[in-house]
Amino acid sequence: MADFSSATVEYGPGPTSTTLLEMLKSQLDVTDDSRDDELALYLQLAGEAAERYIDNVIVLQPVNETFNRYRSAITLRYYPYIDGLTVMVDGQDMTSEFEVILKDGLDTAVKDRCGVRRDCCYKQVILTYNAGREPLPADLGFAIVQGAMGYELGGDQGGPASRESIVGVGSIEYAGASDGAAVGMGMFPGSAMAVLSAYKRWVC
Amino acid sequence: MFNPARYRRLYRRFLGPLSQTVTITLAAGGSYNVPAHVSRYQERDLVEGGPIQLGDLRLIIRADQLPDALATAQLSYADAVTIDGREYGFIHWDSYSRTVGPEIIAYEATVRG
Repeated sequence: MADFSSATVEYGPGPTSTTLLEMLKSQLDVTDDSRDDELALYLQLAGEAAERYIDNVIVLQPVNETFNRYRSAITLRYYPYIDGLTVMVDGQDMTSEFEVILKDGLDTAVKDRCGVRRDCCYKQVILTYNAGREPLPADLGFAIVQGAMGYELGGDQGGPASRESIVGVGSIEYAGASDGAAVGMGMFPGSAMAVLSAYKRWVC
Repeated sequence: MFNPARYRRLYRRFLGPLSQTVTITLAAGGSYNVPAHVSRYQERDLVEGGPIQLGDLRLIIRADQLPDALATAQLSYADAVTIDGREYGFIHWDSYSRTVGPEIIAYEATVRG
């Protein structure tokens, strides 16, 4: 399982590196470690929800796919492909017979070398490889942090808070279900959804 | 919805960056540095004949940051709090307004100097 709390984001000259947990604690002004487990849970919930929404992996993790019929080339389901491809064909390790071809930034294909449209190539193939991002793009990392803040700021009442107030101290207004052009979803504000949409996996 | 942990988190988020350190000195002895949110009462808080006067300050102190010796003390005007080098006496010590059920989330005090 991918660990979202320890996933890192890099930004600025240097660059500066920080984990999603550190980003979330900074946003919430949490300065000690007493709530690390709870905040890590919020990040995990937000991260997994974001992965389901974009229909792809976000943080670097091992993935696998199974195919039960012949294909001359297989477009990998998860991207970006990083490394570690293994190919099991009908129960045998046939990794050396395959190669990864990067066609463009999004589409990664595995092509077998035994010829085009030869039914003898395989009956069942299981692919295992590492896909995802490490470090995360800053905008994607912050979108997950925003989702985690949604759980923190009202997850126990069924949705993110729109306003918080303490008598004699002050109040904070949060972006609602729709802030600007993007519409929020679940614990994610519209601004986070706008970022996630750019990473969404589209199937033609 | 109304669980103490949620309100403790709310007060931490607000009072963490908005608090300043004040020094509470008990007449009976003992001095304690405590983070507190300090604000002036507004005109709408002042009621003719009421206990709050122009110039009084309101302190809000998180319960989890209050030393045990102060949590059980009945602070009075004889006890002092020093804010930005100026000394004030306690007019009112409220341990009921900022609670969730039996749990005290924060104390509120009115001080005058």
